[in-house]
Amino acid sequence: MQSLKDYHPIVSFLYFICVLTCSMITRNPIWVLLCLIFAVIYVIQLKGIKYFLFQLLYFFPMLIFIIFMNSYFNSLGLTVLFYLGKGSPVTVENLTYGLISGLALFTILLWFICFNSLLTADEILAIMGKRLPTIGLSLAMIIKFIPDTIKQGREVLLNQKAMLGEQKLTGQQKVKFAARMLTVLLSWSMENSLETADSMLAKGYPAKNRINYSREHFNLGDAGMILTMLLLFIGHLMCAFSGSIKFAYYPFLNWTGLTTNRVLLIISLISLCLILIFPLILDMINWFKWQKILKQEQTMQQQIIDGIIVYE
Amino acid sequence: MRKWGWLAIISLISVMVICTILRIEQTALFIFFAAVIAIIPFFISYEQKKPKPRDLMPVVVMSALAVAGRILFAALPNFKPVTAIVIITGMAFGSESGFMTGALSGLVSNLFFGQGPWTPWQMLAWGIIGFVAGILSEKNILVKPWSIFLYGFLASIGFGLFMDTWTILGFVQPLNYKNIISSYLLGVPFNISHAVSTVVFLLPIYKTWLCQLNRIKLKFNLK
Repeated sequence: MQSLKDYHPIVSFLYFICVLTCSMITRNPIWVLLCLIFAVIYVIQLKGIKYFLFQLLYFFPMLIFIIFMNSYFNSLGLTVLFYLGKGSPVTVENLTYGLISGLALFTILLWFICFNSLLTADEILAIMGKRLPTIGLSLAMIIKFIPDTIKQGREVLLNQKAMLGEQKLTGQQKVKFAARMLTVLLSWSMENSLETADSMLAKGYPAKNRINYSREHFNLGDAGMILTMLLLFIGHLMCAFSGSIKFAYYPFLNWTGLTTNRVLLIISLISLCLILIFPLILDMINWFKWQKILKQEQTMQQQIIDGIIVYE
Repeated sequence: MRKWGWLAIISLISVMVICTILRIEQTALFIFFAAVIAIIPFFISYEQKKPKPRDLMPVVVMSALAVAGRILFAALPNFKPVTAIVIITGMAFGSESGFMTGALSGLVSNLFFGQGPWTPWQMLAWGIIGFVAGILSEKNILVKPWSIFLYGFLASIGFGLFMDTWTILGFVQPLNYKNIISSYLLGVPFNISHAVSTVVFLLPIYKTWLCQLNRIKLKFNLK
């Protein structure tokens, strides 16, 4: 067992699509909160608690915005709390809806943070490169050209400034100066890139057996992982959409799904938890294995010290 | 490409409208994936043309410049040169290169700034800006400087509105016109600063860059 990061990038990509779908597919508070809790745990595990608190700070205004937009402009819901301004009742129902919507959005943002640290740029290029070779190549070249461009831009700026000497520029001259600098930069980068293109052609660029840089090989473990994940995901969707997921906010909060089949409800909740906890389980198994190895190592050391094992 | 591109854009908009009218609970999910899917026809038709390395280069260089600019100006929020550069690319190299430049700069710049639910929307919005710029300049509408500036200004505002759409349609329900208008109005200061920055970037470079790109096109016989 490895942690999710060490599997083929397509596995993490699929996992990511699954959890993203799970967190967007419903506004049932139980579902949203479960997704949120696991997203928070995973972000803290990957990035640390400080990073998470910082994100929370960013997110807070957005949450207020969504709650406000959901409750100020509609008067749905029966349990009126108070009136904002002229005749716009704020009810428990539309406040809850706004809160849950905002939390759903936060969950999605958190999953994307996980995605960013799970999938590095080269893995994204490897995924794209196989299916869209031209675009994969363009992306790789863009990434290569960015630092080149910035470096050359600094050089051009220095040269242009050196030509000015002590001269001070007025406003209009400054614009002209900037334009000239950017023009020099553009023509340099264009001609430079076209030389690269010519040398690519000379080395036989559209060759059929050209491959993309990719460190990962797709093996049986990856296939098993994908299969398990898809089975869980499809099973979850089927159970959930047989009725248990339904939740009505208006006219009053009512989990209508509770009245349907209890077994399906429990199965769907368990499968959701299994999907969400997937990477954590992998990490836990790893951790325990690592602890076992460490323990063996320690007893070995102890035995050497005690003289039970003697090295010659 | 053009046919498929229009089809993709129109179907994305119709998914948005249908989801909003029917008040579907999964609007956020559906329109997010619709946006991802709307990019695919553009990419596939670009892929099928099998461009030579030389013809790849304009897109690559302009995207690299756009992303480098966005990184340099990252400290100032909403002050990004990407829109201006995408418009110039679309005008000089045609609508397809315009779309690809916009979409790829969106994708690559988010490799630096972090991907998010906004990535497909940014790719699509910048792509469409370049695409439309190409079409407009083909029809000789973007000739006078003021028309270019006006297009840059409107396109940046449109970009902002397009970016807000997912949050509003997906997370505010039920929607009425008061909701929609006030949500969009909250974004107006950001959009205006973006639009002003686009014009500020277009001002010094549009003439010289267009001249230069046309010269390079002639010199190296680019498509």
